[in-house]
This record gives sequence, structure tokens and C-alpha cells, in this order.
Amino acid sequence: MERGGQAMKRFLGMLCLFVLLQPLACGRDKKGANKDAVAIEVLYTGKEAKRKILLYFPSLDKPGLISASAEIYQTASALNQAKQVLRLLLSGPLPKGAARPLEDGALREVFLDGEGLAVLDLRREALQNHPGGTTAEYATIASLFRSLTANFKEVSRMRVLVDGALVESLIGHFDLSGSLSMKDF
Amino acid sequence: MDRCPPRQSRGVSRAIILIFALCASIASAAVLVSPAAGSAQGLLVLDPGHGGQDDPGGQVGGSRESMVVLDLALALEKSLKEQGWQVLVTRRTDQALSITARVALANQSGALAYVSLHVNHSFNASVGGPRVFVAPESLASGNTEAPRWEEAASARLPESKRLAQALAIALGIKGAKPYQSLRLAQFRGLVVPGVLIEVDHASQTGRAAQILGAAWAPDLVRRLVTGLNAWSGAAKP
Repeated sequence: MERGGQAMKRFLGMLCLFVLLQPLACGRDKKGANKDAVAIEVLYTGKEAKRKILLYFPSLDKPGLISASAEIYQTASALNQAKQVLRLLLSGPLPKGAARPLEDGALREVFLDGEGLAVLDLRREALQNHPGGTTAEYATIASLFRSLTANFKEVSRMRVLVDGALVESLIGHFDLSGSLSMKDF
Repeated sequence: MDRCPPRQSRGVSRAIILIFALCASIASAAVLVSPAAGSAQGLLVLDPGHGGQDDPGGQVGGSRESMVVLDLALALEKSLKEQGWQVLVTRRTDQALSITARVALANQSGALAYVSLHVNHSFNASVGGPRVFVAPESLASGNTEAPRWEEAASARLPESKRLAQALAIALGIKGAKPYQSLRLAQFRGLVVPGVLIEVDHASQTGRAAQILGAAWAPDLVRRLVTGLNAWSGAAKP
């Protein structure tokens, strides 16, 4: 009887968890419905110590990129911290004279392979508002790359996917067929 | 009964097939190269960037970049032909064409050079003027290894740089090195000398209207023809 009650509780617990997670799982298949998947992910509790980082934005009035310091929570994993960096870059406070490399919600997923490679999966529909051109495309890629490699010794290379797939380029110029390293910038 | 021919005659058959295949490949190569052989200047491949309805290229005022560079490429083709060049344009309509397909077309043509045409955008609205790009130096100095196929463009880098220099001068770009090296998809696997030209900045304040104006394309075409002729003349022994 006791055992049956425990089994029932476990079943109800699993059922509640399934019901709670169902909207997230369904959202992945709907166009645009999962736009803020990274943004809604809980990345920190707010109780962790903070660390200073540098963000690199395309500049609105100078050649190349401009850097701005910011803080992230020193959570246990580098992946989690990398997500915080990218969240700040795409949707955090925008310093004066800086542009967003990509619009908010452009990032679908981030992955670190533990051997120096960061994989960024971008959302194709978010690229529609990118200005285009070799210079702006280069600035976008460089902004993402520098913001990761400057803050994480775990990252020395970056690979960019769009909607989970390999692409020739982001907007028709910069070669994204392989992983990028410092020599490409 | 052994129906197979004797070993000796099988060897002769193989040799005949091999010779036939060799002749066929030489003939097909001649067909590919022949457009350049009969002209005074040689064959050029012009590649108007982007294209197609789903194209992610930029906007120039109210027009799409893909259409602006298509018009430019066709005008440039006309002028170059008048100067004795043979010209192959990668697309003549608003069609989607992968960068890989454009590069393959250039490689198969046996052209003297591949020129990709674009209109630039920057986040900085004060930046203007044209930019010329070549493939990066992918091989470190002293590295004797053969380039991987996707880095083939680096093998033609000296010629590409001379072409870039001539075009940059004609476009009025100043400086000791008036072109930039960048890892662009247009150079991946390219085996002929090649450059990508961002002919202007549509993002510069007030510039888009000038790009769409009547005087812009003829002046640009004249400069590009001057640059290509200067390169071609210098390249001749």
C-alpha cells in the first residue's frame, strides 16, 4: 500500500513536469515562437559572484569594433557564462556609439565542445534585418568572435550555423564553411 | 571454352580507351578555354552578387542590391566587349545562385580573372567609397604543404593582388595597400585570380540616392574597364 502511494506520487510528479515542459517543447517547431529561447533560459540565481567581461560591438562612428566592459555572474560552467555574454551583446544595455551585431533573438543555441570550439546557431529570420555588405557582415562575425574569445580561454575558434545547418556565409560574403580562428580577423 | 580475349588484347583495349579519354578531356578543355583564345584581352567572369527572392543581400535606397549589381555587371560586360574582352556573367536575371556554383563556373571557364560585384554596407554611416578584397594569405611563409582545395585561391594570390591593385587605383582608393585580404566565400576553391569589389557604400548618408542616379553606373564602368585594361596590359609579357 505504502509502495503503491509512492509510485502514484512519482507518476503525478512526472506528469506535472511533462505538462510544465510541454509548451517549451512545442514552441521549438513554431516559426518565431521560440524567438527568446536563450533569453528566457535561467542562467544564474543572482547569488553568484560577478566577473568583469569585455563586449565588442560594431561601431556606429569609428572603424571596426568598440569595446565596453560589463559584468556577468560567475556561474559554474563556461557555457553558461558564454550565454550570459552573448545575451548582453544582443539584448543588454547598448553603449553609446555601438550597434547590435544581430537583432535580439538571433541566437538559437550555443555549444562549447571543450576543445576550444564555440558553435553558435543563428536564426535565419533574424538575418533579414541585417544591413548586408562585406563590411557589416565582417563586423557582425568579428563582434561575436571577439566577445567570446576575449573572455573565455576555453574558446579559440568559432563555428556559425544558421537554423542548425552549415552555410556558405551569413549574408553572402564571409566564408563560414569552416571554423573561424584569430587568423581570420 | 574461354570467351575472354587474351590478356594482351585486353591491354591494347585499355590503352585505346585511355587514349580516347585523354583526347576527349583535352578537347573539352579547349572548348572551355576557347572564348579567351580568340579575343585580344581574354576571358573575364563577372559575378553580380546575391540574387533571387530569398536573397539576404542589402538594400540600396528602395532597390535590392542584387538588382543594382546585376545592372552594373551587364553594363560592364557591354563596355568590356567593346574593348576586346570576352565576358561571362554568372547570372543574367534575378536568380538565386549559390556562391559555390559561381566559383565552379569561374573555374570551369578557364578565365583570366573572376570579379565579384557588390554594394557595401557598414554600421557606420560616415564610411564611404569602394573596397577591393582578395583571398587571405592562408599559407604561412615557409609552409611547403600544398594548399587544401578550399584554399586554392591563395595559390593565385600574386595575380589577384595585382588585379586588386589595378582596380583599386582606377577606383580612386589610396594607400600603399589599397585592397584588403579577407576570408570570403567567393574565394573558397577558386583556382583563377579573383577579387570581390564592394563598389560603393549604400549605408553612407545620402549615398543610396546617388548610386541609383543616372551618372553613377557609367562612371563606375569606365573606372572598372580602365583598371581591368591596366591589369591586362601589365600582365602581358
